[in-house]
Parts: sequence; C-alpha cells; structure tokens
Amino acid sequence: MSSTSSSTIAPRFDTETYPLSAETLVRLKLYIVSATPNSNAAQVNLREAMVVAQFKGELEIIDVLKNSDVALSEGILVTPTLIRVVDKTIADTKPSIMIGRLDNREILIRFLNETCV
Amino acid sequence: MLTTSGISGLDQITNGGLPAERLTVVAGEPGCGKTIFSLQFLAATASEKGIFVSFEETPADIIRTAQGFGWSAAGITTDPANPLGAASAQILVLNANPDPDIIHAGEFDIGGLLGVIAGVMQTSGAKRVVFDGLDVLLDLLDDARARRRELIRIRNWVLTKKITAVVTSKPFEADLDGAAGYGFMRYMANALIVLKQLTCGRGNVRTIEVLKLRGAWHSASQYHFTIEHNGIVLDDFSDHTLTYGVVTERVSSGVERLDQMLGGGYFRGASILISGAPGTAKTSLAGSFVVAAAARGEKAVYMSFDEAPAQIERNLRSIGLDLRTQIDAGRLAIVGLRTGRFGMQEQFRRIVRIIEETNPSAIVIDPISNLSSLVEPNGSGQLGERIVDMIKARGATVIVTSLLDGPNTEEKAQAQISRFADTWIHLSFAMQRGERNRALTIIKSRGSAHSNQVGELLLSRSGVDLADVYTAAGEILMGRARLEREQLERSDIESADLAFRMTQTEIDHAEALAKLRAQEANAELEALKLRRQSLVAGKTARDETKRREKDERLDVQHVK
Repeated sequence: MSSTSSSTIAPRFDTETYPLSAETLVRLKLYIVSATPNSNAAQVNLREAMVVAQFKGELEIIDVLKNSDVALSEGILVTPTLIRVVDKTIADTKPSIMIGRLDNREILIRFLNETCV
Repeated sequence: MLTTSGISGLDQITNGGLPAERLTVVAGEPGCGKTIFSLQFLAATASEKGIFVSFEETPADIIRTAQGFGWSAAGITTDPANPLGAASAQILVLNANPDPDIIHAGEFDIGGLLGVIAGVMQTSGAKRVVFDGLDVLLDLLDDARARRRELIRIRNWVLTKKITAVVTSKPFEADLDGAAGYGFMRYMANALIVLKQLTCGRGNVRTIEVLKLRGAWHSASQYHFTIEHNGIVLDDFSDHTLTYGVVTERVSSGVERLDQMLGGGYFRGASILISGAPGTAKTSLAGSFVVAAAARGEKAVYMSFDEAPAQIERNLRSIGLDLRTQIDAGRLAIVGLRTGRFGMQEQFRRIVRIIEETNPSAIVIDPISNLSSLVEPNGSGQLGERIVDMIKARGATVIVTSLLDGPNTEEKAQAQISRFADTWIHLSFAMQRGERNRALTIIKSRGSAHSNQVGELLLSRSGVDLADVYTAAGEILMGRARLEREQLERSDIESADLAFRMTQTEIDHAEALAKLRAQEANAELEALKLRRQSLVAGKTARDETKRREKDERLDVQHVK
C-alpha cells in the first residue's frame, strides 16, 4: 500500500512531478492557478482522494500561468482542470476531464479508479 | 475614448466606435451575426491585431467564415506558438470549445485562461480580443451568480491589461427582464450591443441597437443592417454624400406628347410613380424613359422584379423600343431581381450595390411594390422609400411602378405616397362602346403646370404615344369614339374651309366686274371730256374767225 505522496496534506505551490513508478500507466494532470481558492481546494481534495482510493498513478500539477503554452495546447479553458490520461497499452481511451474544485469525493474517486489496473 | 468597430455605420451611430480598452458585450440569438461582428471587429484595423477565442465554433469554421468575407487576406492563424507578428497575421484563432464529456465537479473560473491569453497577447502584440460564444462556457457554471462573477472577472482583466474586448453571448434568460432587458450584461459591460433578427412581412429584417455606451453619446434607435459580401453593413450609412440640389432641368419621358403635358418632361432627379393594374402598359412607359435616356448618351438601369430581362426586351421591341442597341453600347442594363432567394434586406443591398457600381442617371424599379409597405401591404417597411431617397441624393431620375389603384387609393395613403413621388401618373383602362382603351392621368406633378386632362395612351409598332382625348357633353372619348369625333371635326373644318374659299371666289368675281365697270365709266368720262374739249375748241375757233372777219371789214371801211 504505497501512496505516491509522502508529504502531508498541505498543498504545494510550484510545478512538481511525483516520482515515476514502474507500474504507472495512469497519469493525472491538474491544471491550476497557484494560490487561488478553487485551485487550492482542488489540490487538497485530490490528494485526500488519492489516498483513499489508493491511487497508484502519477500526478503532475501544472500552473497554467507559468506554462501557458502547455495549457493552450491541452485546451485548458478553466481552472482547476483535472485530466486523467491512460497509457495506450492499457486502453485506447480519450483522456477524461474533470473541472472544478473537486468537491465531490465519491465522484472523484470513481474518476480516479476508472479502468484502474 | 472610442476605437473603430470596423463596421460601416456603427462608428457613426456611436460617434467613434467601441470603447477602447474596455469591454463590449454583443448579445443576440443564434444566427444574428455575432460571430461575423466579432471577426469584422478584429479585422478592422491593421494597427490593432487581435485574438479570437472561440467557444462555440471550431477554428476551421471561423477561418472559413473569415475567408468568405475576405478577412483572411490580412492573415489568420490558429497556431499560438507563432506570435501574430512572426506569422504576420491579423487574427489568431484559439480553440476554446469545451469538451462535451467534461465532468463537472464544483466551482471553477476562467482566471487561468485569461492569464494564458494575456501571455499570448504580450508576445504577439495584439490589442483586441474576442470571446465568441462565451455563454457556452458559462453555461457550465450552475448559477447566475457564478456567471456574473466570471463576466466581472473578464471586465476587470480587460481594464487591467488595457485590451479592447468584445464578448458575444446569447442573452441569458434571467437577464431578459422586461423593459430594461439584458439586466446584468447591461450593468457590467461598458457597452452593450444587441443584434436581432425578425420576420417582417415577406422578408426578414436584421437590426442592431446600441443599448448602452458608457461615457459617450450614441443613437438610441434600432438600425437595419444586412450581411454583405464584405461584412455587416448598416443601412442608410453607405457613402452617398451628394445632397439634393434644386434642379430645373427636364428630361424626356420618351413620349413627346407626355413631355408637353408635363411642361417639358420629368425634372431631372425627380421620382416618378407610375401606378396601374397589371397590363396597363407601365413597363412600356418606363421602358420609353430608359431608352430615351440611353439614346441621349446617359447611363440607365432597368431593375425588374417581376419579369425576366429577356422578356422585357422582347416585349418592348414589339412596340418599337430597341433596348438591345443601347444594352450592347453599354448605356443600358436590365437587371432581373426576382425576390425568390433573397430577403428584403438582401434585395435592398443588391440594389444599392448595382446603383453604386453602374452609377446611372436614369433608373426604373419595376415594380417597387415588394419593397414598400406603403405601396403594398405585404412589402417590408420603408425600404422602397429609402432606395428612392438614396437615388435622389445621387441626382438620378427614377421611375417606380406599382399596382396601386391610383385615384381610388384612400386619402391617407395618397398623402404618404405624395411624400416620395414628385410626379404621379396613373394608367388605367376605360371601357367605351365595347372597346378597351388605355388612359393616362397625371394625378400630380410637383413643380410643373400639368394638363389636368386624361390622355389616351397608344401603343404601336412605332412606340408609345399619347393622344388628346375629347370631352364631349361631359364624356371622355377614346379609341374609336375619339377617332369618329376626330373625323367629324375634320369634315367640319373642311366644309368651313370650302365655304370660305367659295365666298372668296364670289367676291373676287364681283370685284373684277366692278373694276370692269369702273374702267368703262372712265372711258366714257374721257370721251365726254374730249367732246367738251373739241366743242370748246370749235367755239373758240369760230369766235376767232368771226372776229377776224369783223376786223377785216372794219379795216376795209377805213380804207375807203
């Protein structure tokens, strides 16, 4: 039972990529605007949910203002936006997108666990 | 401070355009022209490049639209990696179509998007931004409060970044409150423009209205506009800056006797209404006018809404009017404008374009009924009057035909029609003695003394002519009756003439006789004079002889 997060629940404020584990075939990308209420809440909610769901995938947090070209190419319109990308070897699916501060724990967990290995 | 909107006419009614470095909201139902408005706004001036953030349509469709209006010529791109300057494009289109499969989980905002766009604007040097179809995105937000918050966010962002922005949106139901309308949008935007599309009579009518323009004067009316090949164009704001002058020059109607009845012809620059039931030869009379104008060397255009140009040409040729020669010489054009495919607004713009391109001095609009509710209840509003005004402002003479019933129209309508027709000629049929004759009545002719009579319109192989009619015992005679009467008068004249000549001959004769008698009398007088002379001479001679004899006797006596 490993969690990809070894720190506390407190949100971090810069771009970070969690260490890649060998089994990671599901990636999460959370697009935020640092230090805004919705984005802060989303980060908190997400990390809690990841713990509860025993999520084994990779999480990348991207500040839209600092990485505007990525945001544009990914088509990020609102923040926070959570994108779940599944590696092609598992399933050939479109990335799933969830927007908002991720208030609903149940929906979020289901989102994380979709076609979970 | 205002900046050009890129839309002909809008700059005029706002006295400058849209508020610079502020937010303008353009609201309207789907299909009203919001996207076209926004593209036109971004294409307005080369000194201000712009970003088109598209929430509703795909970038491909936006580019296609721009190409259709010729706005892609200045450069349009979808690649944000290439700043506008480097791609030397005028417009950058960003795809902001929300994914339909998005899962909605709580509140969100567009602060990030705005930040990203600000970054792009900085690198590209763009000054204008459009958010087209923002309602599509804001609809993802559940409540009105959140929507309003985002609108305010955009407005503040626009203010801070000193960008001139346009947001287009369908009006939110909650905002359509009664008389004020568009409640929140009106409140928070610096300018609010509403586009509408209505069906009116047989056509559809597009209107634009400036509901709000903070800090500046603006005209408060609704204006008609059409979507032309080069974008949105407001009616009444095309560039005809000629003003009506007072003109006393006359131009021929093509029918000599009619010219006489009108005191010389139509005034140049006047508007002439020819009304009459179908078949009363309105086209023939109108055709005479343009042929005469073209023959004079002027440019003429015949706009036909009912009949095909080829048909008109053929029909007029049968009465001796040769349009083909004038058409080939480039002086006359017959344009078919059947209203099938086009709405009234489009028709109006087509007519305006034809007139601007060919610049004629003689124009016929046959019939104008379709374009004028004045002249036909189903026509759409005042388009007919506006066209006539525009033509007169250019100084051209125009004939419009209509199916009005002439003198039988109700008085109120007559008074209104007077406003836009300087001369009103009515054609009708008069039944008489089993014959149908054509009558022409000049109902009114502003500025000229015109005969109050009815004339008989004659169509023949050699053209259109007008004959005086006879009024006998209160009856107007036309056709055969007129011919008979003419015949009668002719023979009356002849006999009077004959009588005259006869009497003249008599007198001559008598005069000759009198002269002869005078001669005789003179001769007699002469003879008498001579007799007297010889008498006197004889007496004198005898007296002389007697005296000499007496003298001789005396002499002899003396000598004895």
